[in-house]
Amino acid sequence: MKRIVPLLALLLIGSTLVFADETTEVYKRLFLQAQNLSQKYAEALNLVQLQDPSVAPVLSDALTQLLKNQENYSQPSDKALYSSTVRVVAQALGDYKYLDAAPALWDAVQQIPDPLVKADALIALGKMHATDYSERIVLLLQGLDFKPTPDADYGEKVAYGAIFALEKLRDIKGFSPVFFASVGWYSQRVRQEAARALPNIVDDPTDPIMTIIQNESSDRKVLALKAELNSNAPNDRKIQAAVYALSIGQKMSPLDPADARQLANLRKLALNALIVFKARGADPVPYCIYSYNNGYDDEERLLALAALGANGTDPAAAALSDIILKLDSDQQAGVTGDTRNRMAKAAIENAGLAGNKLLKPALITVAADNNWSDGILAAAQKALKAIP
Amino acid sequence: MRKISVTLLVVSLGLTGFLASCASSAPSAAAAPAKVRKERTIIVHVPILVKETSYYSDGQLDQYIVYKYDPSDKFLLEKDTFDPSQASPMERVVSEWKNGQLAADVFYDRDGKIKFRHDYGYDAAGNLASDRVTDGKGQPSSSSTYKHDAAGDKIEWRVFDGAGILDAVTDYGYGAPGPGGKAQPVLVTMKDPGGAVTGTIKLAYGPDGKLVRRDYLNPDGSVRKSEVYSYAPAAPGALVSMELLRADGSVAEKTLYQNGELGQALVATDSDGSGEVRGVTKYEYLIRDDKVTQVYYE
Repeated sequence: MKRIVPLLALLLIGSTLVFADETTEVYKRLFLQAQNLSQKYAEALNLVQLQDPSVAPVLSDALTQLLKNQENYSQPSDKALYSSTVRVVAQALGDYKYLDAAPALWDAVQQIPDPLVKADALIALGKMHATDYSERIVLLLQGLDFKPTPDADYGEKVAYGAIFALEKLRDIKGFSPVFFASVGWYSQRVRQEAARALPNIVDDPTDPIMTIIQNESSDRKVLALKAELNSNAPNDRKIQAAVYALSIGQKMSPLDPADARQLANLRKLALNALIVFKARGADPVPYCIYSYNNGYDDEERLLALAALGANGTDPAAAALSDIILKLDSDQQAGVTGDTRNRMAKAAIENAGLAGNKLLKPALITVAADNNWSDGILAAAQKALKAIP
Repeated sequence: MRKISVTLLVVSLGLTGFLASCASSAPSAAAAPAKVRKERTIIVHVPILVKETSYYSDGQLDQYIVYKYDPSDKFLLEKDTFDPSQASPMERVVSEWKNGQLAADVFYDRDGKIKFRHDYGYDAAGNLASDRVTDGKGQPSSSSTYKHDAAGDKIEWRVFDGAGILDAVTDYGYGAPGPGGKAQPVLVTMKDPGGAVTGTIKLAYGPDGKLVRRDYLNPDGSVRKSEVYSYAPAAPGALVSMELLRADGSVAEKTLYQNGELGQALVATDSDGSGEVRGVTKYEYLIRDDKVTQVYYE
């Protein structure tokens, strides 16, 4: 992209910047003729600050040469200068989006030990949309996610570059390794960077997220569902993921009390999503019934009732009706208690919110049952009025 | 493609119209003798670039650059380049001004560390005379010196390495003055320290004084590449396209511009030789109103 130097700046510093093309020509020649590394570095700096994409082929060739001659720079002082030079060149190639340089940049990732060089080369690959390298960057980040590197700082820096690259490449395959980076062993800075990048990688991450929900630990299942809910996926896909998470959360046998809590959190998060997105249709209903009947605590059971109310379709109304009639039958049989009263009130209120005519008989039954408290009877009357 | 062509456009917006109006108002030799020189104040609208946003060819946001000025909107103070997903800039360039002259540009990386710094010096006439570049550790990286003639036109540029050893010399040759009365460079000769020519650039201008072609020649005089500039026929005659041509004349790259009322580039679309779009850049401006004294005769 071109740079526009503001008018006044131009006028005030004379005509030097106006005739910039010989500048590029001169610095390009000096860069090519540089005899030693320090000259190369100095000329690279001069060249890249011109922000002239026409120098990209020269820089790309220079990168290839630098990689070829890497063994010549084994002294500690040379190593630092060598890394700095490669970084300057790599950054510029990324800025210029010079795709022809992608193979050399990937070689830099693989061959140069300095993690900052690797990170800059990865970032450049992302910036130039080198999609042919997505798979390789995915594998690289997966390897880093797996366990901390012996030098944690090394792994952090390389992971940062890979996350940035995968965000720019916008390949759905990049979602999972970046997700695992967001919940992995890295420092908070890298984890936050990964979490921030997630919504930018793919608008609809539902498929990889459902895979994570299926295969990963309970705490990661919760984080994966949160990522789905924070994504740009359409609501019907978010509902699909929530229903799936709810089913998995009910099917899994907890390993211990802590795991049971995490699975309950997963189910509650899923139920809450069903309420927020007003999930309709028959699919969620059996899972809502299961959570009502077998909920980890009252919160889960109440959320299940709310999800049925928000659903409002005939299958959900039928389920709510059954629940209300069962509670009424128990009440008549003298089986009472605060929890039952709380559930009954919630079921009746959600029946009103559902507004489905199928619920009228159950509500009339409750309204005619003097075993209920005045509060429950009033709630039933109010719900009846809400149903057309 | 080059930054320079767009800068020429912006300069032309600010000055050419004004100068042209002055020129057209000047008395001709055959004019009636009784006309009197008068002055009036006019407002010139100057577009000032405040944001530049780049997109990939698929429309995905690439990066954006924010330009910050002093309260008068005359002096660029900072240029910040952002990745859209990052809160802090990837690069900052902070400009320092002294007595109305750009004194230094300091380049910072994304971690806030200095990458390099330019310190500028000026001659007695106010022309840029030197540019000293130091790296992030303050070590000299390279430097340049410039010479200008009495009219303020640059006639020589010398480049030195960090140790002060001469690396390159560039001479500028000028043709007849353009419509604005200003000499226009027509030949740029690049030489090594020994004086051997390493390449030349020939520049050609249209009747209205606008740059229309730049040919890059090898030392043996053969054409290596060319740039061709086209302008809108209607005022203010904004740049509408730039083409980079290979030695055989085929198009290697092309940039098309959509311009605003003041001739400022609003959208630039880059494509390769086959016409495939490689990227789009959008420009946003504020409009500064300058009061200018105009001389006229009646």
